[in-house]
Amino acid sequence: MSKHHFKEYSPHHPDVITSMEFERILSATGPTGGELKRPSDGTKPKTIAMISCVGSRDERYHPYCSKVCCMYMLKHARIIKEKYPDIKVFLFFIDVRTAGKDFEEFYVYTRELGAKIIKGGRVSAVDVKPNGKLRVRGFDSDLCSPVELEADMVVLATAIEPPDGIEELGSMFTATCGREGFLREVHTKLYPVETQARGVFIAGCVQGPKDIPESIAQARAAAAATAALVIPGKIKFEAIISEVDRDKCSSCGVCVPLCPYTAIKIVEYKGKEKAYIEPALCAGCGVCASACPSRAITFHGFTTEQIMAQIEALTEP
Amino acid sequence: MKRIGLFLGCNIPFNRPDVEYSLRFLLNALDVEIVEMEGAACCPAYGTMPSLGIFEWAVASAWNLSIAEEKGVDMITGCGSCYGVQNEANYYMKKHPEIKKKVDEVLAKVGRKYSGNVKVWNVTNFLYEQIGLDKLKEKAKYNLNGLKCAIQTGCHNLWPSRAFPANEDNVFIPKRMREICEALGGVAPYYSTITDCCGMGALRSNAPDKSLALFKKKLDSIKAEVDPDVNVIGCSSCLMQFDAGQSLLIEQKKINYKIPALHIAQLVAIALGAEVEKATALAIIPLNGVIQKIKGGN
Amino acid sequence: MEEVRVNVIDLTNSDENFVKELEELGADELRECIQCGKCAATCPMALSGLEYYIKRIIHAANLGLRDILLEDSSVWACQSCNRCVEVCPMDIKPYEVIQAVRRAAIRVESCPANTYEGLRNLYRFGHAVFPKGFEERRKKAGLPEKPPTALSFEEMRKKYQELLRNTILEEIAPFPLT
Repeated sequence: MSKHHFKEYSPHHPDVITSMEFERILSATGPTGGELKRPSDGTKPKTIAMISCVGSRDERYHPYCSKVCCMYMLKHARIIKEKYPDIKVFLFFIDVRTAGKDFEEFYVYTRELGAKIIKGGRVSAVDVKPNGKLRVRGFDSDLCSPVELEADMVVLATAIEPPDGIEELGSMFTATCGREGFLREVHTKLYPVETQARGVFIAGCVQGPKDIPESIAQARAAAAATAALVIPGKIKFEAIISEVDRDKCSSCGVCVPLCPYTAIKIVEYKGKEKAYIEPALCAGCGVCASACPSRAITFHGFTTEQIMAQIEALTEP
Repeated sequence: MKRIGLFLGCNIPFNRPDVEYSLRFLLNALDVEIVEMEGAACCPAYGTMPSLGIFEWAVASAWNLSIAEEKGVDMITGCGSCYGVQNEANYYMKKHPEIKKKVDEVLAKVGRKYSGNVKVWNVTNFLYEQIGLDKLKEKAKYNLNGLKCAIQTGCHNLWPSRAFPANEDNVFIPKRMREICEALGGVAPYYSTITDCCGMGALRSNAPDKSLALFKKKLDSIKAEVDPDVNVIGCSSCLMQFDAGQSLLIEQKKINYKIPALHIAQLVAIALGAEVEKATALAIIPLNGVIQKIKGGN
Repeated sequence: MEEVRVNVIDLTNSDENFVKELEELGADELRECIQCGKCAATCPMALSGLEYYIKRIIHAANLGLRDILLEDSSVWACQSCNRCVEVCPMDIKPYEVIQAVRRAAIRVESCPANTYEGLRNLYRFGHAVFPKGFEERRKKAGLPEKPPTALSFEEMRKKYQELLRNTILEEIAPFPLT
């Protein structure tokens, strides 16, 4: 997320930057060759404030937790403290979320290095002082008091958000996006890498905020699921799918846009354009069969005769 | 000719009528017809009807708004609370039709009605949007001659921004009042505590020492960062804190400097040629230097 | 001398209905608060050192600490500045919680005396703030003794009083509404 959404944090000031920008400043291949310098004047900052949950856990932007920020903020603090022990680092958290193997240890280690942790303290304002310094105003729940800090640099841990165009990407293969705009898996627990489109799998931040180990684990799961589909050399179709009787089809094309799985195409058959349902894609919803004006589509397992027989059985006195 | 209802409230007509004089003068000078809000009451102040219930709040504001509606005008006020309270009441009535319905019923009982479309303006936004800086410049009789102004917008003039008919591009870095001062020939720099609360209001009534401590912190930063000739203020309550409150701090020897204070309406009225004695009749901290600077150059 | 008490808050008898009461009094989203602290960072109540300030009040309200909140007078010193409403990431409108607590408190007659004074002035004169000596001040500014408000229009003022009698003021005012 760009810093410019957050008007209360003086985003016009060059020394208010996002964590992604800060990551570049710390990087050996970055614009400063890995040397920690302020964007405004190239000097080494003496005090750095980092602000968590900027745009995350925030109904005006993204209600979800971006999950990785707490850890990368600690990582940034650790890098600074290891390289420049004299720089003061203040981390303003709402909560410190360090669930998982070795993460809590990382947190404790960063504290040992001297990074200062403020909790229950989402920052409310960053104002520019006449000397160019940044006045950061937060709250410290443990002190039960508002706190104020004059910083040389402010780093905003802005939210992970779905990229532009994700909806269009999804619609190309009928995968849908959830309320937050990330691509949706079929089932959170049982089908975590499958999408609505059979044969299309997802992994990584396109499905929701996650860190590198999780992304890799999910990517491997997606690869395995793909392999399971491809390695046998043939694909099993579902029994309950629809089929077009192309001799009956009037070529009206009504069914094509109705299919939620883009399984229906118009193809040439006996010199005429006729509907064809790709059995590998059909999910057996039956929408096409009920809409076909020529009754040319059979929904296997739910044919007209079968349904009529069921109705008759139900209405028998 | 533009017409506007002059909503007075309480503090302006009773404590700082010099602001009322200034408002009347500046509207006349800018060719705006003043429509008297005959029978209008308190906005009502946050600690009164709003503290009894949302309906109580809405119905008491609707009384005033219905007077403006009857006269076919929007309203202007120089008081931050009057601006905030009545715009928020409008906002609630739009958001909660069931409250509006109850308001309508009670208004009908006293022979009034309100359809919900009266806007309440503050001086800054009215000058900025309804008059325009160009016209203001053109009508000005005196140039501020580089008068250094520290701006105090007043909290109620800024937030909750969604309830207001007009607002700053960035409410955390307000600049409309600064632009008005600069259009008139003054200097109005940004300072880091520009949006801080001055401490006037319920805090001042219920915990005066705490209120003045909060005010001192702000004033100290104004002195250190801007060192202005005058504080220019968008709200009548803040004005009382900056003038009478500051006098208390001086009396208690808590500060050793003195910065005079003018409501934005007073400053603009003086620039437009108002009688200084009337426009600043109730000011406690002397304004001689300020007036000299404004009038000296022309 | 004030009684010295052990510094512990007993959660056992917290009032489960308090949140509902406050929701009905206008604080309709207070349960969504995640205690992020953004409101308190710039809250005048917190900055001036009042014992209870916005973040703490919301937490206490959610815990059901009815008696503590209604007895404490901090809510009455809230500036109504609304900065909390502007910055709240969960959009719970923190200021509405303050007002809801006030509304609950005044229904059990727990408010500072100046609250009643404001209401009495509002009812009698149409103005909550009604300081003595205003006629003299108005003269200095070259204005007529009385402003053209409800103060000058008796008929209107009576109607306004009738309007106020159609609110809860009728039930809770400790002064006669005649």
